[in-house]
This record gives sequence, C-alpha cells and structure tokens, in this order.
Amino acid sequence: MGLKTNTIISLENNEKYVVLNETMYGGVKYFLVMGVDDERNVIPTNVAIVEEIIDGADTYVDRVKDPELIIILTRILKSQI
Amino acid sequence: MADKVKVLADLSTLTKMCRSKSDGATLVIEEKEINNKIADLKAEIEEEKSTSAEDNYDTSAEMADRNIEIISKKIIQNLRSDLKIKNSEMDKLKVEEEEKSNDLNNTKRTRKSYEKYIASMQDRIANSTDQEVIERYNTLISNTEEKIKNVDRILTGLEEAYAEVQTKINAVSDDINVTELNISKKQEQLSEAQKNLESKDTYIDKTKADRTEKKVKELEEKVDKLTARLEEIHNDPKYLEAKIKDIIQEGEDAFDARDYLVKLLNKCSKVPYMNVDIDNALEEELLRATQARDAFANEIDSKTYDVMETVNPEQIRVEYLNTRIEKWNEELTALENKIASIDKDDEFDYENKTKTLDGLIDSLRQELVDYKKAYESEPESNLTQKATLKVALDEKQADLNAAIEIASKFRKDEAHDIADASHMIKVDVEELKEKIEKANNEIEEIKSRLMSKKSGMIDIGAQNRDREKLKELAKVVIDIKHRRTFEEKPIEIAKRLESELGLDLVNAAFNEAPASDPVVSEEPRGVKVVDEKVIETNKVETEEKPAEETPAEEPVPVVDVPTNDLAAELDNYIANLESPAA
Repeated sequence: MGLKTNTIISLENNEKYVVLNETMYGGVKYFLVMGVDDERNVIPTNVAIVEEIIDGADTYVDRVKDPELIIILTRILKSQI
Repeated sequence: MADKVKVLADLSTLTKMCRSKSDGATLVIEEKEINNKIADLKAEIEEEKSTSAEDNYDTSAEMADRNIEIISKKIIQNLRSDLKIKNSEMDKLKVEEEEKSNDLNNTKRTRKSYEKYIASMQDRIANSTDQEVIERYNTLISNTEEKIKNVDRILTGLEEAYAEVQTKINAVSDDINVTELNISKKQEQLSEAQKNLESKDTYIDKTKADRTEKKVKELEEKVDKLTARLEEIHNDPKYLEAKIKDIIQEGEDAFDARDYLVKLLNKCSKVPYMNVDIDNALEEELLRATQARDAFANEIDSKTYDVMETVNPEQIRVEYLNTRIEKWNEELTALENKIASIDKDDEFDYENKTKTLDGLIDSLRQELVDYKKAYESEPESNLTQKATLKVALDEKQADLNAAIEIASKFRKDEAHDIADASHMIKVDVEELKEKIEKANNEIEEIKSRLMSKKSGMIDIGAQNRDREKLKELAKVVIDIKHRRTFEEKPIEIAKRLESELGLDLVNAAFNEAPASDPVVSEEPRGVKVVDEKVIETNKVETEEKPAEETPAEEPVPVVDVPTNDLAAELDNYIANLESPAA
C-alpha cells in the first residue's frame, strides 16, 4: 500500500512511470515520476508530480495541476536531485 | 479476556494524541449534573405550558359581561315600552293639534267673514243718503263688531290652546329622541357583551400569557446551552477515555465501549499529521515548517507597523503631497535661479553690451564731428568734393542714429527682464511657497490625527494579522512535533484494540473496508495503480526491501534515469503548465 521510490508503477490507464523522489507537503505525499515505455525506457520529457491517494487497500495517483503548488513542490524536489 | 493493561495503555495513547486539557472524572460528574439540570428545566417548562391556559383565564370579566347582557336586555325592553307609550301620546297630541288647528282656521274665517260684512255695510253707508238705512247698517256694524270682539276672545283662547299642544308635541318628540338614543346605546353595549361571550379568547390575560411565553423561552435557551455543553463533554477525549476505562475496569461487556472507542479513534484520525507515517518526508516537512515559522518571525521583528508604511488613505495622500512638494520645490529653485541670473545679468550680459555700444556711439559721434569739420572746411568752389563729403556726413549721421536706437532697444529689453524678475518674486514664488506650506500643514494634520488615536501610528490590523499568521505557522510545527512523540498511527492502535476486544472498530472509525470484505466505495480522485515493480536506477541506491516483498528468483531490473536533464525537465514542466508534457 502506498507508492515507493525506485519502483515502476503501472496505472489503470496503461501508463507507466518510474517513481524517482518523494516529499510531503501539508500532510500529503507527493512523488516525482517520469514516464517509461513498455521496454522500460525512460521518456525524459514526460515528467510529472503526482499526489498519492490511499483508498482502503488501493493506491491512486492524481497529477498535481495547481500551478502554485507545482512551483513549491518543484523547488522542494529539485533540492533533492 | 482482553489484556486490560494493554488496552488501557492504548487508550491513554489515543487520548494523548488528541491533546485534551480537561479532566475525565470532572467531566463525568459535570455530565451528571447537567443531565439533572436539564431534566429539572424540562419539567419546569412543561409545568409553565400546562398551567398557563387556566391561570390566564379571567372568569370575573366573563361574569361581568353576562351581567351586562342580562341588564342591557331588561333596560332595552323597558325603554321600548316607554317609547311605545310616548309614541301613542304623540299620536294623540297630533290629533289634538289638528283639531285645534281646524278650530283656529274656522274661527279666523268667521272673523274674516264678519270683517267683509262690515266692509260691505260701510261701503253701502258711504253710498247711501238714507238715514234709516244708514242707521240700520250702523247698528248691524256695531253688532258685528261685538261679534268680532267675541271671536277675537275665542281666537286668543284657541291660539293659546294650539300653542300649548305644540309645546307638548315638541316635549314628547324630544323624549322620544332621547329614548331612541338610549335604546341604541344599550343595544351597542349588549352586542359587545355578547360578542365577548361568543369568543372565549377575550378573557385570556394577554400580558400574563406573554410573560409565561417569555419565561418558557428563557428556560428553553438554558436547556439549549446545557445541551451544547453536554455535546462538548461527550466529544471530549478525556471523557471518552474515562467512560471506556470504567467499562473495562468494571469488567462489563466491551461492546458497551464500542461507540466511545469509535468516537475517540475518529477524533484521533482528525488530528493533523496523525495519520502520516514518521519518515523522512515528515522530517523534511518539519524542517520546512520550522524554517517558514522562523523566517516569518524574523520578518515580523523587523517590521514597525508604521501606518505610513502601509497602504491606507492617509499614506496615499501623504505620499502624493510629498511628491507635489518636491515638484514645487524644483519649480521654486528654477524660478530663484532665473531671478538670480537676471539680477546678475548672467544670461544676456546687458552691461557689457551697453558698455560696448556706448563706446561705439562715442566713436561715431567723434567721427561725425570730424566729418563735419572736413565738410565745412572744404571750399564751396570744389563742388564735387563737397558733395562727396556731404554724402559721407549724412551716412555717418544715419549710422549714429541707428547705434543710438540699438542701445535704446537693449535698455528696453533689460528693463523688461528686470520687471519679469520682480513679478516672479512677488507672484510666482509667493504662490509656490504658499502651496508648499499648505501641503506641509495638511501632512502635519494627518499625522497629528493618527497620533491622537489610541493606536497611534501603529497599524493594529496588520500587526494582528501577522500574529495570526505566525500562530498558524507555529501550529504546523507543533502538530508535526506532536505526531513525532507517538510511534504508531491511530489506525494501528485501532487494529490492535479490534483484536483485543473483538470489536469492529477500524471500519466504523476510519470508514475502511476490512480486507476480507471489499466494499465498492465512491470513485476516488486519480488513476489506480495496478502494478508496482521494484527497480534499480542510476539515480539513487535501491532501498532495502523486506525479504517477503522481493521474490528471490526475479532479477531486479535496472532503469537509466537521465539525472542531468531532470532539473531542466522540471523547469520545462513549470513553464509548460498549461500544456503538460504527458
């Protein structure tokens, strides 16, 4: 239950991402992910920050859209790179 | 049987998580007292409501109206009888009046006939010379006059009788009017009394009813306040802990404690950060929160909260006035410089020009004298030379006149500039100085008004807002530090209590479906993660995984992550926020 860094996650919509970094902000966990193709090759231009949502035994991810929040999280995540 | 010690320890931990400052035992006692008070107040309210209807009824007023009804009816009856008699009397008087009127008229006619008779006889006498006839007629006239006297006596009597009847008629008529009026008044009284008797609400004392209603309302408000306090107590973690402890220590059925436990666990889950794991992410969050708090505290320390430094009407006006004062001062300086340049003759150097021109004019005058001498000394016989000298003399004279004219123009221009300078001093400079003084006075007035306020020049509103913001920032730090004092999350304790006490707690408190019984819940946000594979990257070292999570026979795949592009890609991500890459 819950995402972990250094994993490849497959989503219900057939998208795949490698989970690179995590951080917490306002009590919520966010993860920096990068898209991967079916051969596990990373797509560098496909970068996203997603919010982790735990529902029972299931984990969901939701792409962060709020521009101000993205700026804050990016600053935090960049400092970890 | 559940391990009481473990259960009570877990209970204590959950209560500490909620940070209640109350005392459980006191709250339980307070609850009892409040319940008693509420019961007493409710009984009092019922009593007020039930007795009000009887207490407020004014039976004496009803009795009075009944009496009025009876008496009014009797009086009306008597008045009507009286009226009947009077009407009957009136009828008789009317008959009598008619008779008397007829008698009177007849008697008057009789008199008139006698008068006519006398007139005819007098007329006959006037036209007769027969003494006998005249005597006879005179006798008749005399007799008739006697009769007229009698008739007059009768007439007088009749007129008196007629007048008497009329007087009686008027008196009876007045009586009848008064009686009818009295009947009408009594009828009104009767109607009112009967109307009151028909509607019982008339006899309810409204002021008393209002007082009762007010009292009931006050009592109900007290009940509401106490009920609200009861609700607070029932939700206080220390109270919940006390109730659960009682049940467990008395060895009662654990199910009795379920509701309290669910409530307590629910409260714990709502404490900020309490549902979050203690890991690096939380530590980073704490560091950020601490830095944010400290940075803001430092920022506040350096603030003066001077009203003049914040945006407000006074500050806007003062800033504007200062700008205007600056501009006016610049204009003033320019004017003063101009005046100085005129006074010092810096710009056009009139003095030197005048000197030069005066020198030239003197030279021309001297030349003219020489020319004149030369012309006069030339003999007349030498006409040609004389003519030439004359021309030169005239030209020199013209030159001299032109030079004098030019000198005059320079003097005029200089006089004009000096006059301008005087005007600038008297009018323009004074005007600017007045404007500057007025603006400065206004600024002083504004500052004086602000200083006279209790808050003086301090922007209390901004100060308070910053304090609140600092409190919020500090609260985040406190909340995270509070979380760090507990090893477990509420849900973990809940699962343990569930198994110790055999109660369904997790589902009820956290709305989670038990693993064995998946329940389809509302569709959450986001996309579901259907698979997760551990990998190694060139970016960071792989985390150590517990043995059961990584199947031994499966090799861990390696993924190359271009780290040098990652930061740039993040920047691109922000830049393309409206058209995300993926």
